[in-house]
Amino acid sequence: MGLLDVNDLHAGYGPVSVLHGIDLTVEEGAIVVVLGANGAGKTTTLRTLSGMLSPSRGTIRFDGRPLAGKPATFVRSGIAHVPQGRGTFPQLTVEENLRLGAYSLGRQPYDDDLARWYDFFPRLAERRDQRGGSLSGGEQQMLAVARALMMRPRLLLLDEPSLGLAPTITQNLFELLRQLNEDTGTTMLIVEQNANLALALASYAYVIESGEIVTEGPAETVGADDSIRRAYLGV
Amino acid sequence: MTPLTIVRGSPRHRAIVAAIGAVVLVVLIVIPNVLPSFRLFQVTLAAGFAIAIIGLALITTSAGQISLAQSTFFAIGAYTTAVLVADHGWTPILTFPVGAVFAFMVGLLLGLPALRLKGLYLALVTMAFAIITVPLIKRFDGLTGGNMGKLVSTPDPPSWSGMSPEVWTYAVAVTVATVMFWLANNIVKSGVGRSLSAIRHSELVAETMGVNVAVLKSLAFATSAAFAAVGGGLFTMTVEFVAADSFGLLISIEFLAALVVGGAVAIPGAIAGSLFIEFLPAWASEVNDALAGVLFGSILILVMIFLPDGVTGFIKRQLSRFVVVRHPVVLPPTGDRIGDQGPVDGRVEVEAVLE
Amino acid sequence: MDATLFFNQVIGGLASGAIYGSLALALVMIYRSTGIINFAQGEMAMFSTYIAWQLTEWGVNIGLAALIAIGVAFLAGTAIQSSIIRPVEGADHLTQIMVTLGLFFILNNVAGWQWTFQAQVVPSVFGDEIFAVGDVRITALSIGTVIVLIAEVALLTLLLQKSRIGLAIRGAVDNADSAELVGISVSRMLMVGWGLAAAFGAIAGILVTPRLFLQPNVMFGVLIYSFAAAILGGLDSPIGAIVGGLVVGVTENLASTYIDFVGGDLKIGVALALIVGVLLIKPNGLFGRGEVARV
Repeated sequence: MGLLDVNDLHAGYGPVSVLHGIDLTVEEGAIVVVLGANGAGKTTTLRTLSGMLSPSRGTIRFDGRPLAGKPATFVRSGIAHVPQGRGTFPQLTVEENLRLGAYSLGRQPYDDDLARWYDFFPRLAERRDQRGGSLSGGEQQMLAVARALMMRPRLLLLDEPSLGLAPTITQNLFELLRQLNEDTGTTMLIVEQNANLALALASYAYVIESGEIVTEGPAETVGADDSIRRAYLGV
Repeated sequence: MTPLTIVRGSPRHRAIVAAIGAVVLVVLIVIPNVLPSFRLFQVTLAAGFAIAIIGLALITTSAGQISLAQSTFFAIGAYTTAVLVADHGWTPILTFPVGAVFAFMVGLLLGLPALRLKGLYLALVTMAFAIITVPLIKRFDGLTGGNMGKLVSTPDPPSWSGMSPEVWTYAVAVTVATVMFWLANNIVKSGVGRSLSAIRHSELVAETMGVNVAVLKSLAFATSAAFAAVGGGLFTMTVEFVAADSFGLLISIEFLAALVVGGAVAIPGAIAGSLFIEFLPAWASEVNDALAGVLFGSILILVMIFLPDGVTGFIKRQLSRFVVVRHPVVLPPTGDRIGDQGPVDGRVEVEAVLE
Repeated sequence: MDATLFFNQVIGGLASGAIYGSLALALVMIYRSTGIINFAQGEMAMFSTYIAWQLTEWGVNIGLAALIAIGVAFLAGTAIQSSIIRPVEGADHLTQIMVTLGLFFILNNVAGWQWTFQAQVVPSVFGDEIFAVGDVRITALSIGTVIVLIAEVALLTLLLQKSRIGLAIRGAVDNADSAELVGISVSRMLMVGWGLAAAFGAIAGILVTPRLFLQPNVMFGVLIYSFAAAILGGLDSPIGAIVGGLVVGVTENLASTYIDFVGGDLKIGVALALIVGVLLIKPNGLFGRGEVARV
């Protein structure tokens, strides 16, 4: 029983069905990656896992308990979703973005969390009074991750964190994620198109195509298998 | 159940249109013979409103603009007819084009803001024009009769018609309305209409496609003004009295309401809408004065929430479960077809939509 | 130039302007939180004022009646947002405008039916004292109105900038999806936004009707001036609403006093000219920041 168990998940938008029965498991403390091309259903999967989209069929179990309903429910359970395109609050300052990340903590003090993540992401500390929208792509991605971390999440969902970022910045980011996972044991489910970096980071990988999981396995195995790479990852 | 498909332009299609046309003609002829005088009066009024409404549709449904100034142009037409008939003895029908031209010119002028404003902001600016209209009419009361109003006796119908005055007015109204509908239809179906549609979807794209957006929007606004003026002229001819307070913002709001409640299918929508704004308040105020407003507002809200494309839009959607009219298919030359590029598996690229 | 007349007109203009600013604040609140221009704002204010007035008719002291009416207005605002505004949230502007106009008709006619179109006298919350500074007259109500307005802006600014819920509202407005992802119920924030705006509107109505008298159509004129104020100040700026209101109030008074053509019912032309002028020349107004108007 993993931290997250997804069973036979079906979801779509109106009459258009995108996911046709997704099964996946994420063990606590692991970094799991879901790879796939554009249109495969990666974002839809994450949106279902954070409550932004209601599945038409199937179950989501978090910590053994079924999870469904509005995003606030998922947030309360400890799932933080870093959406595609960062999802920064552009008109609000960096600090306000982070404070909003702590919204679900209610009245609990979070100054220590702020200090900690400013420490981990020194660039954000430098820019704490700048508008979120004025940050560079890489900085916004860091801001989005830091905001998610303010929630003290048990599971971090990341949607294509490398999108629109230069290779060096992406490498930097993934290194930060690895370090984060090492230091805090935060479980991560990352959805990516960039197979190489993602497979290097993850311990387990799923490949999704046309709304179905077509293969899965330990990251090195999936990464080493040329036939998989050629068939599904366009490499 | 698959709907029955009818191809536009085919013999079957033409037969159906002819049949509908015949029914409409019969109804129009029967109306003055069966309706009591006051109801006939109301239908005649509605015809005038319908013209203003279809004019509004030209810029709203076509070009996506929101205008609350239709009452101003309606007033221009109404007062042009009033002054020319009462003070200079013109025949009413001849005054309509004059009012239309006058409104067209004012529309060009007032339409200048329309060029750069969108949605809510255009609504506010046109609202400002509508509000200032009544005080202005009152200010020039020498000409307009101001608050007290101006009596406009329309001349007797020509003897060859054999009709009573009300029936003659009705006939004129319906005929003019038909002509204006035909005009509107031609505009929308023409290249101009398609360009307007492109503008509504995206001005930027339309511009790159070579559409002169500014000119077209101005002309559209001015044309809709001209339509409203014709409706206004008919109004004067029907009511035989004009007074400033009849031409306020409320009229513009009623026209817009008629448009949205009547719905997306242009001409039937305008007709349905015009009947709605004429008959509902009149009927409701027989029961209770306040009821009219409450009912009007409630219907407006309910339609916007549940039938966003109006009554006729709703009916059209229901009908399309049984009958669908489509254009004849014109295939591009071989090599351009989607199928020629490999298999298409009908999947929708939803992922891309989310980006 | 007669200094007394001038100052009297300026003071009078500031007092009216405070009212316009108050209602404009409500308009700005709704525009910022839901992107809608609420054509029914005035009627909502009028209706709330009738509730306050009805309470005074039943013997309740005006101060208490006002507080109750404001509370009711807040609740009504949340109810209106969740019942008729939410269903058309994503819809095009025309649909949204028509819904608020429908609300306008309903409120106006229900008020007329329930309380007739006869003008009613509403007691002033600040009493009836008039102060004289030289030859210039200032009513306690005017002073009170300006103070209330300042308090409203201060409260609103504090709420939005310093409180947790204010941050949540700003977040919900800035990026609704991300707000959901941090656990904010955007729909609840929007309800709060409408509730607050309704409360501000109620305050405006209760403060202006002692002078204008209460009848179902009283707030329509005020609404137009408030539109002008909000647009002049910038539709997304609370400070702009206040400044805009005061400017509109003073301009209206001075214009109708000193410019002959403008008098009586053409007075509203001042507000209308401002609306058109600002939207054509500087659509963001004096303090607005968002992308407004331009195609």
